[in-house]
Amino acid sequence: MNTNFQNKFKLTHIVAFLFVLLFTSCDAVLEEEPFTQTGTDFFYQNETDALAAVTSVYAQLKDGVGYYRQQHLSNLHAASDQGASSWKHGNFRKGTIKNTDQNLPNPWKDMYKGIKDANNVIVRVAETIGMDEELQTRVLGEAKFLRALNYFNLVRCFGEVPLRTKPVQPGEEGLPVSPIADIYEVIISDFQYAAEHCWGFNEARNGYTNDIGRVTKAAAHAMLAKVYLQIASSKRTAAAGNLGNERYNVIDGTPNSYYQLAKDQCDLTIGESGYQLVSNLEDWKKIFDASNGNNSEMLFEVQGSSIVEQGTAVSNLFSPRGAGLSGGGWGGTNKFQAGFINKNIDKTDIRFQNSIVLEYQDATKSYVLNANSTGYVRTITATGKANGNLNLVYTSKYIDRNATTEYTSQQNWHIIRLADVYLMRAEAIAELNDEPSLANADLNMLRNRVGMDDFDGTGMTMEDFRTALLRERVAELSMEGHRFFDLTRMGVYHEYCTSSYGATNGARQPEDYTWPIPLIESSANANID
Amino acid sequence: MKKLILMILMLPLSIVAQKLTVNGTVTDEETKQPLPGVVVMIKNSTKGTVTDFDGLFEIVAQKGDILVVSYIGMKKQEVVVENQNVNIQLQSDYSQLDEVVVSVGYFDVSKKDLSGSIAQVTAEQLEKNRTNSIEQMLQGQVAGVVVSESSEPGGGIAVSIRGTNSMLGGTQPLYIVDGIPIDPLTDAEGNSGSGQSQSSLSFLNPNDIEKMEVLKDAAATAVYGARGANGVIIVTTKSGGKDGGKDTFTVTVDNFVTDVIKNIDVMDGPQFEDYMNQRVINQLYVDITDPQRAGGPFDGSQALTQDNYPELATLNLPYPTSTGVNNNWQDLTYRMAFSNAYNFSYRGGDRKNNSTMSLGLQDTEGVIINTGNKRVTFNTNTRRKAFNDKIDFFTRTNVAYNTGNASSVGNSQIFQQRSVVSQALQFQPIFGLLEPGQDDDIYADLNENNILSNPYTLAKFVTDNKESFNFIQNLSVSAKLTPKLTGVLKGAFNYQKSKRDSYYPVNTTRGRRNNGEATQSFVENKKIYAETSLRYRNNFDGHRIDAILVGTLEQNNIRTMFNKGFGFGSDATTFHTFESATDVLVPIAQFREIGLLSGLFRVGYNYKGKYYVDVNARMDASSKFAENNKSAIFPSVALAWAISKEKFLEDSDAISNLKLRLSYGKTGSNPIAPYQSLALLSPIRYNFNNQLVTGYYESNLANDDLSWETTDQYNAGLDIGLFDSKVNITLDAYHKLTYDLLQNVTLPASNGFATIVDNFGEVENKGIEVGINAALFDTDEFGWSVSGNFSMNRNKLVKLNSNLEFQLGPSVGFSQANPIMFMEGQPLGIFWGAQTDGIYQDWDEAIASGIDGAAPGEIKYRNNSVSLDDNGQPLATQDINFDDYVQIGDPNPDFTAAITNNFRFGNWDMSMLFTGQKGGDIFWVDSWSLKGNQKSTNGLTSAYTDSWKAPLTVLDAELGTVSYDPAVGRTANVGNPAPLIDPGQRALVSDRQIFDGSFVRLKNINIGYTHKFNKGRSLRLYATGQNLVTWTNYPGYDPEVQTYNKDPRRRGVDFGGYPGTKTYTLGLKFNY
Repeated sequence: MNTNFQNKFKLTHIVAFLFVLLFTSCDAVLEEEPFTQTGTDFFYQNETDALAAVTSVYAQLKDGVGYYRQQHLSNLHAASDQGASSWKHGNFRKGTIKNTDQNLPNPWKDMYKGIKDANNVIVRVAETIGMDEELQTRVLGEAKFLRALNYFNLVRCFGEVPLRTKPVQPGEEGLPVSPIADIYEVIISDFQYAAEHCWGFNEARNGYTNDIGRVTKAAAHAMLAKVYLQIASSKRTAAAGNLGNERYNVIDGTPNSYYQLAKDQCDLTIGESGYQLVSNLEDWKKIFDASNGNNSEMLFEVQGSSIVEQGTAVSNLFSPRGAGLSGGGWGGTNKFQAGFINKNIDKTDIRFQNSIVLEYQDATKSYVLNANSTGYVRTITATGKANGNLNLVYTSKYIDRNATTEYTSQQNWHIIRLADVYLMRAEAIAELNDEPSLANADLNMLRNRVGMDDFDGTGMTMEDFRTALLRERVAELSMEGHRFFDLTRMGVYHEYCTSSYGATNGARQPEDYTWPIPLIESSANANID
Repeated sequence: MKKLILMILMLPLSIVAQKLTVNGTVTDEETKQPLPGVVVMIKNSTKGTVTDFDGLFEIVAQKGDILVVSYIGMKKQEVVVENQNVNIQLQSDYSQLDEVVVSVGYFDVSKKDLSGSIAQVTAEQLEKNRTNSIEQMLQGQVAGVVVSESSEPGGGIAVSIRGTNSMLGGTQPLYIVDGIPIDPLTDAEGNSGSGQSQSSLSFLNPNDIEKMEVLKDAAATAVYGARGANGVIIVTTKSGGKDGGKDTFTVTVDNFVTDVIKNIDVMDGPQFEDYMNQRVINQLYVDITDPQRAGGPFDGSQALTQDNYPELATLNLPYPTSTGVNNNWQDLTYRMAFSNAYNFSYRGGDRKNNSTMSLGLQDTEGVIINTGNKRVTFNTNTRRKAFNDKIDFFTRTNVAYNTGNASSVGNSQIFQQRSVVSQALQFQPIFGLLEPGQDDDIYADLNENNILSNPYTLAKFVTDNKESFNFIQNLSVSAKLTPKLTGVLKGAFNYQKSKRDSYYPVNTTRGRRNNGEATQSFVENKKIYAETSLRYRNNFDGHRIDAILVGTLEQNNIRTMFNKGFGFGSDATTFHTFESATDVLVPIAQFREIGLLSGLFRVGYNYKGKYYVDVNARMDASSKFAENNKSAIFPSVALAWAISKEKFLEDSDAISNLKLRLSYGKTGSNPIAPYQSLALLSPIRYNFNNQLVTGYYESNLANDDLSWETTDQYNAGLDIGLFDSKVNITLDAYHKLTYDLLQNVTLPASNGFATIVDNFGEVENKGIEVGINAALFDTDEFGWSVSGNFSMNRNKLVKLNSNLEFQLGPSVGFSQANPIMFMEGQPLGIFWGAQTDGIYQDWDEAIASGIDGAAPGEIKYRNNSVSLDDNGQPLATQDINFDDYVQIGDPNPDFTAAITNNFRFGNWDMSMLFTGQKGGDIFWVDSWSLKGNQKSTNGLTSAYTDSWKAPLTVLDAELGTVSYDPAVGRTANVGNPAPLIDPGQRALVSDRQIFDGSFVRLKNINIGYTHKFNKGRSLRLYATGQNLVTWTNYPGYDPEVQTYNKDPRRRGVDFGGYPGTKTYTLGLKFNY
C-alpha cells in the first residue's frame, strides 16, 4: 500500500481540486437573469419608460377577455333590458346572479389589473426625476383617468369594493371593501387631475404628441359629468325610497349640488375644442363605421385595430353571425329582444331605425326585418322558401366587414361620446330646476340633426320627463353599454326589466342593482366575507 | 461519531504480528487479473485484511486456520492455511450480482446492508408486463407506489409514491437513469395551451431495463435531497459482461391488439328522439301546473283545451316521426387498434471490456381513430477497465425519437374545452357524418346555436402532431485511488426537443370559426450534468465503513416557442406554412435557465452486519429561489438492527432474517418556474392612432422569502425472512410532514395579481405499507410464488395559508365551476359541492322547500345553511349557494393492493397480477350533461329511463291535444331530473357528479413457453393480457384513467380523457 502513496496523494489532490473548482465556478449557476422580462429597478427612469408604463394601463382595457375586449360588454348588455346575451348569461337574464357566476371573475380581475398598473404609474412616474414636466403630469393624468374609469366601473357594477390606490407590496393582505363615498372621492379627484393635466385632442407640446386614442381634457370633463350625474340621480332616487340606491346616502351633498356639478362639467366638455356633433343623418350613421374610429363625436374610445392581436370582439358580439358583417366566430350574442323594442324604446325613432341591421344573409338563409321591427323573416336563399322567424334584432353600430375572426375587429368601444354629454346636460338642467322644457335645446340638437322634430318638455311632469329622457338616451345610445347604469341610477331597473322580460324573468330586487363580489375574491381575501 | 473516529485511528493497530505471516494473491479466475479490495478474514475470528492494488495481501495466522475470501460479485472461498504462500482464484457469482446489489443513489450497496426503505424490481419481474411504458411496468409491483393509467399512445403516466404532499410539485418522483437525473419530457404547448407532459421515461426502451429501485423513505431519498421529496426511482439499464464473456443477441417481437374496455350506454337514435319529445311534454306540464300561472294552474280536474290553456297551441313535438338515423358515435370514433414492437439487442464482453447495443422500434395505434405514436430507441454502452483495472471508463449513449398524432384528444381543453371523448358521448345519435363540403354548422339548429363538432370529424381531420427527440450522452471515469478509496468523475449532456404542430381544418367548428387554425410550437431543453465523488470503504474487526463525498452541478437551458395563425385560404398546407394565413399572432418565446448545485456527505457504518448507522448530509442550492434563500441543508439518519443475527435468533429455523429499520430525514422540492422571486415587468401591446406601441407592466410580484419546500419524514420498517427466506415480508410505517409548501397562492384579485408563488402551508401524509413474497414451491419441475403488497395512505392539509382556512382549487370543466377544495384539516383536494336528495315530485313539494328555483322535476338540493334576514329570521326564499356546500367526495383512496401469482411448470410459465383500490372518488365532469337531461345533447340511457316524467299523453301533436294520465307519469322516487326545454339549476357542483373509484382488476396475465436450444440459445413464446377484467361501479370508462394525472391540484377528475383500454399481446423472445 505504501508503494502507492505518492500516486494516491496526487490523485486525491486532483479530485479535491475538482471539488473546489466545481463549487467556486458555480456561483454564476445560481444567478437569475430573465431574458424575456425586465426588472422593475431599472425602469421608470425617463420619458420613454413613463410612456411605456402608462401604455400598459391602456392595454389592460382590452388585454384579457374579461374587460372591454369582450366579457364586460356582454355582462353590461345582459344586465340591461335590451335583450339576452350568450347562453352563459342565463342568470343575468333572470336577475339571479350568484357570486359563483362564471361571467364575473374575469372582468373583476381585469379591472383590478388595470388599477394595479395605474397605481404603479401614479406612484413611480411621479418619482421620476428630470423628465419633461408637462409630459410627466400628462402621463399621471392619463393613469389617473384610467384608474378612475376602472373604479367607476367597479363601483357601478359591484357597489362597495376594495379601494387600492398604492402599489401592492409582497405579502400584503387583501383589503376590505370601502364605502362608496371613499371610492367616489378617489374617482372624482382622479378625473379632476386628468381634466387639469391631460392635453387636447392630438395636441403637441415640447415635442410630444397626445396621440389619438389617449385621454384628453374633454374626455376627463365628460367622465366627471357622468360621475356627478350618477351620484345625483342615485341620491335622488335613494331619497325617494329606492333601496337599490340606498348606498348613495353615505355620500355628502344634495342631489342638486351634483346635478349642478354635472352640468358644469358638461359645459366644460362642450367648450373644449377638437370635438363636435355631426350635422346630418348620413354622417350620424358614419360615426359608427369601423374605419371611422376616433371621429369628432368620440371623446374616449378603447382602441381596436386590424394590427395583429389589437382587434376587439366588439363587432363579433353585436353583429349577426356568418353574414360577413363581423368576421368569424360564434358571435351575435348581444341583440335586441322583441319585448324591449315593443315597449322600452321608440322603435320609430330615426336613430333606432338607422342603427339596426335591416337585412342580411348567411350561407344558406336570408333575413329581412319584419314590419314590426321586432325580428327577421327568414327564407332559404336557394329555394326562396320561408323558414320561420327569428325573434331578435341586431344593432348595426358595430359592423366590421373587414374583420376576419372574432378578435380581429377594428371597431373601437365608445366609452363616452359627445351626444351623451348633451343628454347629460339636458337631464341635469331639467332636474336642477324641476323644469323639463329646459332640456329642449340639448335634446333637440340631437334630434334635429338626424331629421327628427322637436321635443318639447313644456308642461311635462318630472316623472314623464324622466321616462321621455330614458327613451331619448336609449334611442341615441342603445347597445353602447350605458343602459344598465341608466336604469339603475334612475331607480327603474325592476320596472323596465319586467316590461321587457315579463314578470318572472324581469323581476329585480334592490340587491340586483349591483352584482355580488365574485367568489374568487372573497375566498382569497380574509377581509371580505 | 467519536467512537467511529477512534476506530479509524486504531486501524493500523488491528493487525498485530502473531505466529505465521501468510502472503497471498487473489486473482479473477476468468480474467487472470489481480483483484484489489478483496476481504480476507480468518474464520471464526474478527481478524482480517484487504488486498491491495496488485491483489496482494498479508495476514498473520496459525497453521490450520481457515481464510474466508470474499468479494462482491464473486463466490466466497475458504482456504486452509498450510504455509506462507496462498494463491486464490475467485469465480464470478452472477446470481449474487443480480440479487444482492441495490442502488441507493450514487453507489450500490448489498441489499442486506440496507437501512432505508428501498424496493427493487428486477428484469425478471418486469419481463412479465409487456407494456409500452416503463412506468406501467411498476404497476402493482411495489407497496406505496401508485401508477395511473393512460391509454393514449405516448401519453403521460403519473406515478406517486406515498401519497401527495405538494401542490405545485406534483407527485412525480425523481427519475435517475444510470446515475443521471432525468427531466421529464414535456409536450410543447398545443392549441389552447394544452401542453401535457409525456411519459417521463418515454425515451427508454422497456426491454433495456435491468432493474429499478424505488426509494421511499427519507433515509434513502435524502441522497437526492433537493428533489427527493416525492421519492426517487432509479433505473439501471442492462449492460454487457454479465454472462462471462459470452455474446448474446436477443430479438423480441410483440404484437398488440388494443380495444376500449367498454362503451358507455348512451341513448340511441329512437331513444334520443323520444327524449327530445319528452322535454316538450314535461315543459308543458310544468308550465300549466305552475301555481303562479296567470289564469290558474292545472290541477288535473280542468279540461285540457286550448281555450283553457293557450300553451297547448304551441305544443310542437320536434320528432313526431323518427328520422331513422341512429349513429353510435363511440363506434364511429373508436377502433380496435393494432400495434407492434421489435427489439434487437446485443450484449457481450467480460467484466473488463463489454458493450451493449440495442435498437427498439415501436408502432402504436390508439383506439381513437387517427391517433398513434411511433418510437425508435437506440442505446449503446461500453465499459473498459483500464490501467490494471484501476480506472474504469464508461460511456452510454441514449437516443430516442417519438412521433405521433394526438388528434385533439390530448386533454379536454382543446375544443370548447370538450374533447373527442366527451363529444363521442354527447353528440346526437340522429346526425350523420358530414358530406364533403359540409361543416359542423349543420348541427347548429338542434344544438340551440351552440355548435358542436361531431367527434368523428374532430378525430379524423384535426392534426395534432407531437414529435420529440431525446439524446443523452453519459461519460464516467472511476478510479480506484487506493483499494479503499474510489474517485468518480461523471459528466452528462442531455438534449431534449419536443415539437407540437396542430391544424383545425374548416370542416371542424373551430377551424370554420377562424377559417383554418394552425399552431407550431417547440420546447427545447439542454442540460449539463457534472458529478464528482470520492468513496471510502473499509472493513476491520467487524466494522464496515462506507463513506462518500459527492458534488454535482446541473444546469438547464430551456427555450420555448409558440406560433399561431389563422385565416387560411385552404386546408392544403395545414400547419406547414404561415405564409398562407391572413392572421399570424405574435410569437411567444421563452428562455429560461435553471441551475442546481449540490454537495453530499454520507457515512454508512455497520458492525458485523448487525447494527447499522447511516448519516447523510446534503446541501442544495437552486437558482429559482430568492437571493438569500437559495441553499438549504437536507440531513438524514437511519438506524438498522439485524435482529436475526443475534445469538437468540441465529439458530431459529423459522426466522432466517429479521431486521428493524428506523429513519428520519429532510428532503426538499423546488418544482417552480424560475424568476418567481423577482419583481418583473413584461411587455404588453396597445395601439394609438392605429400605430402599435409597446408598454411594460408589472407581471410578477417580488418574493424575497421564496424558498425550498421541505418534507420531514419518519419511517419505521421491519424486514422478515421466514423459512430460509422462502417467505419475505416487508413492513413499513411512515409519517411525512411537508411544510413551506410551494403554492400558487391565490391572491385576492383586487391586489391586481391573481396569484403569487409562495411558501405556505403544511401537508401531512402517513401510512403503512406491506409487501409479501413467498416461494410456495420451487422444484425443478414446478414453481409457484406469490407476492403481494398493500398500502394505505392518509393525507391531510394541516395548514393552508397565513390567513385562509380554505381555498378553492382551479376550475374544472367548461363552466368555470370549482369543485375542488383545499381546506385545513381535510385531505388534499377534496370535492366540495351541494348535496342532493333526489328530484322534486310536484309543485307542492317544490314550494314547501322554500328554495329559489325549486320546481317539479328539478334537482332537490339540500339547503344546509339557512339564509337569514337582518332580524335573524329565515328568508322566505332560500338560495342554494356556496354556504350550502359540503364535502361530497375525496379523491384519495382508502387503500390500494396488488397480488401477483407466478407459476412455472416445466417449460411453461404463467403470471397473474391483480390490482385494486378501495375508495378514491372521481369527479366525472361529463356526467353533468350526460345525467342532467337539460340540453338537446345526448345523455346516458339510464339517466333518461330513470328521469321525472310528466303525467301527460299526447293525443295529437299536430292539433296540440293532450290528455292527463297519471298512469304514464313517473314523478316519485326518480333518480334524475326531468328533460326540459328551460331547466332550472342543474350545473351546480353536486354529489351527482361524484362516483366511487373503487375497483379490482386483472391487470396483467402472462403465459409463456420457453424452448431451450443448446449453447444457451432459447426461444420464448408468450401471450399477455392487460386490463382484461375490471370489477368496478364507476360508470365512466375507467376508474384508473385521470385527466389531469400530473396536476396534484386537480386529482380524481375524469374529463373526457382517453378511454381506458385492454390489450392482448402475442410475442416471442429469441436469445442467440
